Amino acid sequence: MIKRKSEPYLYLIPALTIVILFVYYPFVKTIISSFFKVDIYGNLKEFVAFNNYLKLFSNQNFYRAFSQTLLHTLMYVPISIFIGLGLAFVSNQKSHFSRVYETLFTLSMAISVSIACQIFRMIYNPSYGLLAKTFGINIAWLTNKQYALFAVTFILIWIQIGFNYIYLSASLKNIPEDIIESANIDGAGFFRKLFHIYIPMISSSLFYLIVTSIITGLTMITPVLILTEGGPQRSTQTMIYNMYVYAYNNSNYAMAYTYGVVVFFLVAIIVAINFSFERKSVFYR
Amino acid sequence: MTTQEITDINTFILPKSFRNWSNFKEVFAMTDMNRLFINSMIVAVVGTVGRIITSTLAAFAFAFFDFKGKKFWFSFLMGSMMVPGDVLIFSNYVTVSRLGMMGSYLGIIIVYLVFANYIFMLRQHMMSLPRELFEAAKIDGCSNFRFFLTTVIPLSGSILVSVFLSSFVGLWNIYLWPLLVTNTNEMRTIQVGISMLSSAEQLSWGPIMAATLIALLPTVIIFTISQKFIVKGLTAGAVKG
Amino acid sequence: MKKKTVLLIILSLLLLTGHSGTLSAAGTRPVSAQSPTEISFWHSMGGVMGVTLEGIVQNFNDTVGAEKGISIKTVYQGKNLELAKKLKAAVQANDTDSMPDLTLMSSGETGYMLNLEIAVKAEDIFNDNLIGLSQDDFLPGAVKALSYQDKAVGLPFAPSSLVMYYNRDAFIAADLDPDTPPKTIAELAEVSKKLTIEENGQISQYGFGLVIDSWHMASWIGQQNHDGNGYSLFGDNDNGHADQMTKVVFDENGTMQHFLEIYTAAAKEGNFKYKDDDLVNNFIAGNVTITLHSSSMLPGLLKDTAGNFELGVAAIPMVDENSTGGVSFGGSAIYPMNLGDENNFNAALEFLKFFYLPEQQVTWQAGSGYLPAVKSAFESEAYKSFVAENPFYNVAPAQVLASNPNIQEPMVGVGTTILVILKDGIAEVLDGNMSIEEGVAEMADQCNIAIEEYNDAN
Repeated sequence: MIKRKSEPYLYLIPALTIVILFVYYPFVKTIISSFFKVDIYGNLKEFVAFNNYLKLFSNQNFYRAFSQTLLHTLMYVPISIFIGLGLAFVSNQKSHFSRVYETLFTLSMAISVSIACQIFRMIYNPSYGLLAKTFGINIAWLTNKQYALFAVTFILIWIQIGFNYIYLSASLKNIPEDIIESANIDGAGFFRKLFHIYIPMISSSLFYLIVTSIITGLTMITPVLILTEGGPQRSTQTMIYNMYVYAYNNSNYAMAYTYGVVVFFLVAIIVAINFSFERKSVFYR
Repeated sequence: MTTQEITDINTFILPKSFRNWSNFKEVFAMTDMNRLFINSMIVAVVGTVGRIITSTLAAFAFAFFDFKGKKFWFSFLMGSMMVPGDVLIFSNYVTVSRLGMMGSYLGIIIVYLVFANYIFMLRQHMMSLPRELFEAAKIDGCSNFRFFLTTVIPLSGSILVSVFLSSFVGLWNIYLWPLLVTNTNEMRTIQVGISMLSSAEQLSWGPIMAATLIALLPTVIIFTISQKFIVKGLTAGAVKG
Repeated sequence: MKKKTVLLIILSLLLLTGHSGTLSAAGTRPVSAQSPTEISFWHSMGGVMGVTLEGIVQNFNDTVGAEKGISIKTVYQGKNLELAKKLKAAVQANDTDSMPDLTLMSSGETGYMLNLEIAVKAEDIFNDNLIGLSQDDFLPGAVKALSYQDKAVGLPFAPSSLVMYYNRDAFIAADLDPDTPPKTIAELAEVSKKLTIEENGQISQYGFGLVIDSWHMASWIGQQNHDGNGYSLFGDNDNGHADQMTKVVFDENGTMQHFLEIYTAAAKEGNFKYKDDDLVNNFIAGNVTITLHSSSMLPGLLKDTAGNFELGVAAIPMVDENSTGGVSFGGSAIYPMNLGDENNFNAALEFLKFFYLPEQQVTWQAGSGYLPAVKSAFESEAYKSFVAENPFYNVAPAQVLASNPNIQEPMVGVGTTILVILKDGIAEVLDGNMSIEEGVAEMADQCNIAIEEYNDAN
């Protein structure tokens, strides 16, 4: 580690300048506004202290959106990482894994969430969709409140798998061969190698994926906006979606700002918990 | 492809009338696709290069230096990922307008110049680079910045390609912000062009899909090229520590 | 590789500065009196509608505009919601340079536009005789849809109404007369039943398909004649047009209950498809044979069904024989903006005069499916010869001309939320998860909570 007083700050200046100007400066304004009444033109009216927060926390829909967002994240993070890791292991056994498969697995990286949603809208359609016509599965994926959230989560998992796969297989290939060889000589089985070599050696990559996926999971909105608009029967409303509705559909800026602040702190707490484990469980060479 | 064909699953895979290119012609007749294409390209490439510069520098500081407030500044940057973008839009519009950047590429790009996700990703990578390299460079009397340029950057090749790819796709697809800060048809991006082809109450799936394909093309091409580099970079350039 | 990167950066910087330079120069308005007045016109019309609108503007630029030294530049600003975001952002930044001289705005933003000083209100345009038209020259229902606190706020630009679309070929195949489509919901149920085709225990062709939300209910509530006025209200304060709506009244006046009693029975009898599943495309593909949609769908549907089946268009089915059959208006408004430059403002007014001429109104209708907004257009030769050749285009106008102008969509800041509440609530009742009474109470409660929350915040 280098110890020099001013040099590291120089490297941080570009990033910090932009982040302060375009994220924190407006966000501080948002926090301040959340303590006021705000009219439809965005002007602050009267100071209401924590009134907006009280309103938010006494709103049934907030808890509903919170638990649905959490459920989405609990499915999205582990499944997308697990599948990505599985594929990375398979492709690490170089022999029978062609470039064609590699490209197929990772192609989702090239597709934006909104295009993916349009594709899945067709796949899910119960009258002419791929699932209904080809496999005869006649389920109204996006209009049945039992399935809609899973259907939305699935799209995001599908998109994320490509990146997780390529990123984790990069990490796997970076593991020094001699370590694995010596384990092989010791006669270690796959699971022993998995938990004692592979996982620790790629823990920094896994940590990155877990943290960033948690953030994207908890701030999910795009497919809900495009495909379900929170429905049916509010079953796909997420926190950010509700915030969006307050801001743009209902011009209720005070509530939107309050929502934004609450989401920020909820995510920050969850991420901070993750980081508290970093030193203990993440291994950096 | 006509709407009937699109709703018919048998032609969904291989639409017949795709071959007569009528949808593509319609797309080019309705919008100045060439110009929109160039605009999106500039935004995506310049924005991505900017992001790579800001994030490699920041990651370098976090991975190789020990300084006061390191934890705080790292959390500070990470926190920027957790601020919901929708509450920032109006304020940022005001800022960009005061800076006199309305209607310019810079106005579109500037808010995207830092994505903390990439700082984090590069930090993770740089932290796993062998420390011996650094000691060796120091003994050679190499300055920190030179070490960054000549050793850290080349060793981050495959990660940088991943960052480039993911950032390019992201910026290629931005829609609302470029729409807000530009006011002329000449400055619009390709995603705005696609939206222009459809109206809320009328369906013309054919041209929309054709435009979507055009819009998808560069990301798929860049993806295919860079994917090769990622794999190559991993197997050939990886430093076994 | 390093050299290439450096080159790329330099190149991009050049591009950045170069383009921003030329653009800020192009953005400034011409000052000299001799040069033509160039004004901007923001719109949210994509697809065929956008093309039609651009055509009308081009026509203006080539004729009246060329004569008077006016050139209008249209700028597509995204869909309605994005256009509104864009204007609101410019207003918050007080960025008059980026504001338009003319802009469209959806009816949901009427309350916002009312107190926006730079937006010139319809009432002032009528009173000051700015475009040579008075309020009486417009369709009363269309003006009312865009008025607030009993003041005409927006000029109707793209009025539309619900109409019924049906598949004439399917009618013939089911031994039904395609020239006498169902007139009431009860008749609709009978027809729908006959049009239903089952294969292996699964329905392969539905008769009637529709996902009901507040937009449809505005007409079906409004056309009930429960107290002899010839219309019924959705919410208080004249559906929010007289003053801020404080609650919905569809529960108190019994209209929702009455509708659901008839509709749930009909849905059961006629196998209605009431869940969203891309109904429009299913209609085009022939999987659903009757549906309701905006009159602005007509040009698109004519194009997309051509060669597949013969399209039929009719007035929407009435709740029952006691209903008036009226429908509510939808669609956006146009606002000239007074940004302080008299030349530009007058240029915007010139375009409005041009746009409301019968010929342009008919061109607009033919291309977009929206209705002419001025009465004179319906009496013009242009209109008469157009609908003589294209009788489908006369269905919606005939329907709205016969409607009571007080049949309106609720004007309220939480319109989208109410839309979702009704959509969910009605689906729950049709699913049998709630009784009709429970459903009506639940929908009214939720609407009132949302309205109260909104009124409380603003």
